[in-house]
Amino acid sequence: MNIWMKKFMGDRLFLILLLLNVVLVSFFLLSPGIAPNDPIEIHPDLALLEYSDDYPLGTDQLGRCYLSRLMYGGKATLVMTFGIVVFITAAGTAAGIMAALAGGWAEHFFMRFLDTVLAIPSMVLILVMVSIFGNGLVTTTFAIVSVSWITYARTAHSLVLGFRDSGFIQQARMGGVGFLRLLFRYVLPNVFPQVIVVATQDFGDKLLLLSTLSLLGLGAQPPTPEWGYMLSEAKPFMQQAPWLLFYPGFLIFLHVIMFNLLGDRLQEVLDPKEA
Amino acid sequence: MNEATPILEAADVKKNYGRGGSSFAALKGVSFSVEVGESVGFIGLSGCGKSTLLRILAGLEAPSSGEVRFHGASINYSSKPALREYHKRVQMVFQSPISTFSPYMTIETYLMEGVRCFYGDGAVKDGEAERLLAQVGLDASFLPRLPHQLSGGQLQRVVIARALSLQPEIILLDEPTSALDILTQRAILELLAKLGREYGMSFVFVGHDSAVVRLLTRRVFIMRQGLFIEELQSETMKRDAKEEYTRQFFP
Repeated sequence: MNIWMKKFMGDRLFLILLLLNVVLVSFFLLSPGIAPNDPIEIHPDLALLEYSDDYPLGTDQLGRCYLSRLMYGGKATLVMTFGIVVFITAAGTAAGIMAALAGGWAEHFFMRFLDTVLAIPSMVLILVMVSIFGNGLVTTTFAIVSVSWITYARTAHSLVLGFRDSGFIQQARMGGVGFLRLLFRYVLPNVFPQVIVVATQDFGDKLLLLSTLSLLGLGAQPPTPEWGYMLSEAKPFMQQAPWLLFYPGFLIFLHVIMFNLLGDRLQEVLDPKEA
Repeated sequence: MNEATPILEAADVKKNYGRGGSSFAALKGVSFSVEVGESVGFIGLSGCGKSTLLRILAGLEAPSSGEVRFHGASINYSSKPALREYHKRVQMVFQSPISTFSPYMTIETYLMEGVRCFYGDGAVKDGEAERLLAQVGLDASFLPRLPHQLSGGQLQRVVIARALSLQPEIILLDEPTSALDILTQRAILELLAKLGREYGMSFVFVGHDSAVVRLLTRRVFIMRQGLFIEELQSETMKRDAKEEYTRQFFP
């Protein structure tokens, strides 16, 4: 077993957090098979039920099973958030590393381009994109991806700058190390731990952003269940049926906190100086 | 190859950084040669250009003008294949041992990296990493460790072992003992001197401590503001030094 596998397997807290996150996410990803009811089937006569044997978490204002909507909504929210984070992490990190390794004018122009885009508030850019391409979960996801990869590109770029001229890179050049080996054995291991920690912590931010946009009516559209949209729908019934706000709000909070804790622990596990 | 051809030569090597009014001349035209099996030293204050010269000799930077020749053939700095061939035969030991290691690479991987990259995985023989470590006085228990688990002196020994793994004809040493305590410094210098005798290897040693440089070299070049101002025999340099600048290196 290599030294990193030993570190991962030897850290009980990390393994517990990883397991909890996997269980939590899997529960929602498997929702089509285990949800008790159809999440979009309307029963006007059963609206705003608090609890029943058929509807364990009650029903919403249209009499739809709230547990089923939470489960299906969780799947949509988590898949979209996961997709966003994976894509922006991969694309942003790759772009930042390539710019730093290329150096010269290519690096200069690329970084000034990023500065220019960053000068525009990201929410404004997202709203402009949504207004051009229309509301919906796919458009919102595309808009978030378009503005969010830049943070990763800047992070990866500055990390590579920190060691681009260091002794181990120079020695690699003198040691016959080719470009791909330099990238995968020298550069990525020194960038990946920091970037992956940013990504796990960003998972919560992106989940909240996606939910906020849905809450504003820009993301998921009816009757698609999505946690942010469910919060938006529940607002008028805050006094009558507070659980409609509580359940999706709590699930968003739970996922944000779980991924943040996993990110914090991962940072410690990936630190080579940690025993 | 002629017997009398120096292993390494520099002919009027100049190096400028920046352009126009902000241009800075780090090297203003230095020439020297190193014979096969010979070791020479460069002594000078910080900023005199000795590390720049060493980086040019190592092929890590191209000179602005002038020529560096290895066994009489000019080094082509713009050709990656040519530099690759050059680096099989010329290795360098950097000043700070810890900066020479990727924090995420084990000592074993680091040690065999040169052989693996130049000659392929098949060239890495069983027990070779242990043998290299033994040469520099370390045992096999260090192999699975990460760099931060070794002391500065141990790391510098590993760096030397890696340089030796390629059996280079010449090793360029950039103040390899300046970050080490006096006892470790002595041990490393004795180790280098022993390896030089055993393998008939040449060294180019850069430093600002004349006593340290003298231990490993036969000739010494005194550098000041990008130029050699004196060339002295190591044994007698204190006695023969003519320049006031040179005398400050002999307390």
